[in-house]
Amino acid sequence: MRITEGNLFAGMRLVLPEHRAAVTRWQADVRRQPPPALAEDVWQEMAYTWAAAEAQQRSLRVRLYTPEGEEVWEGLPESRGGELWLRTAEGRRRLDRGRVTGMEAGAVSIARTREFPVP
Amino acid sequence: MQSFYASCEVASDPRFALQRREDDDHTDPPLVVSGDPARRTGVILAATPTAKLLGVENAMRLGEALRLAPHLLVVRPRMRLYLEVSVRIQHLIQRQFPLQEQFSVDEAFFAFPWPSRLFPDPVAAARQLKQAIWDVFRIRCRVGLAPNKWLAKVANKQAKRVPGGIVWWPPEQALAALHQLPLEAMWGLRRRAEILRYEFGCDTVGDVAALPAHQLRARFGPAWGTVIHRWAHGEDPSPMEPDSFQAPHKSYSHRTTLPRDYRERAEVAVVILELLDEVCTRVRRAGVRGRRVSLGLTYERLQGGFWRSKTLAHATDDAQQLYPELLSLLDRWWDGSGVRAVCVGLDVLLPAEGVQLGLFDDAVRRQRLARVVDEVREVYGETSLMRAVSLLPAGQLRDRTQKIGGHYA
Repeated sequence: MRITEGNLFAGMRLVLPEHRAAVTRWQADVRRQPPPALAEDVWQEMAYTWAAAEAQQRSLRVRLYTPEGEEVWEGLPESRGGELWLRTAEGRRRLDRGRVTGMEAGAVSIARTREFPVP
Repeated sequence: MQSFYASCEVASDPRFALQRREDDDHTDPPLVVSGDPARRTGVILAATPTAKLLGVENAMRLGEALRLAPHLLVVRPRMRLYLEVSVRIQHLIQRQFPLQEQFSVDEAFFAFPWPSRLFPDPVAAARQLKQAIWDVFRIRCRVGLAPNKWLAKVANKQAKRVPGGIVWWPPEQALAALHQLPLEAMWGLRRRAEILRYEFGCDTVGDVAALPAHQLRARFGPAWGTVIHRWAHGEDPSPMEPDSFQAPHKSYSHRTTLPRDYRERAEVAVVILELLDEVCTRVRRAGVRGRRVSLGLTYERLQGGFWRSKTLAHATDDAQQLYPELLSLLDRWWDGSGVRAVCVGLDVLLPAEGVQLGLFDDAVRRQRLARVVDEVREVYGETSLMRAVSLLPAGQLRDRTQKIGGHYA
């Protein structure tokens, strides 16, 4: 970088590798979200959405919690022996109910979001 | 931050908690952080204001500091602590001022629109930040407010001298405030300040501003001449780049200060090889290779030395290819003076793709070996696999693995 252009201070900065690693670690920790707590009626609505999609063989988008952010699976719902499965493009995947944060059926989303918490 | 390493030490010691006040530097104990308290030749890394009042200065030898202030509290550095505190302070700054750019362990730039309804009073906003840092960390800071980053840096230095520790240079007053300062207040000049004083007869920043730009460019080169001219007129186009701290490296380097002056070529060569291994490990981990290798030596009393580079035909991350180049730089530029610090660098980085084959060596096998060594060290530590030369008296690897930035972790 020419010192007559751009951020002169970025060019003059010396960063210890350990310092950079500490910043990266901190940012990853800060981004970690706690697991959401869903209200009972949200669970009931999701159960209805699941049942309806399974009966009509319609695809569902399921949002799942991870500490680093949300993960989305999409596929055909299946209930087997009390377990919930999604038949996705990557194969059949078992849903961990404790990680589910929302479901969408078609164009309508009834999932709980952080912006509109269930009272 | 004020005397950051020393402040972290006093802030984390419950003995001093009740006596310390934000508005009174002298409520801090006379404490210094020294490279190695066991050795009186160790150097002062940081000193509290109270210690500085007793005549102690940064970079002073510990023995001399203890002669000036026999009751000085001396502690070993805890680099890991300082880095963790730094990260959290920067996060606090960012939460109050999202446009924030970390500059070093203890400095940051932040910016906000002014005048604006959100920040009608810049000084009050800065005071709130200072208070927040004190409330959470018990560390004092100084704030310089100005229309651009360089002016803010200069204003920050002046903030150390005023009660309250905040200096604000509004746009219409910034130049007048700048021009009356001694030219040594121009941050970033280093030895160029001496040239401006003794060759151009400048005393103040205003004197530098009166120099024609072409004269500055003729003496300092087109780049630095332009920069000095801009700075003297209070100009700095450096943008705020919050993500620049985490931007990909443009170069990788390692430097070490030696415990004594090394006078034998064989000794210096051992240190060069150890530093090169570390640079190559980091470069491989980043998935890049470098075409230009550099060697820097600093001579005894940390004065004099050289920094020279060699550009290779192909980018590499292989210490075996780079080491002979470094030795040839050493043989060509070292004048035989005692060596007190060594630095090895690799830049002109390119993505690591493929392997440059040679007719007489097995580059693929060497690369595989290097990666295995990297993996073993990642899991079991840097000293789990060492070159035999690191066991020689000249070797610094075992000592350096206990340190961060050359100081105890």
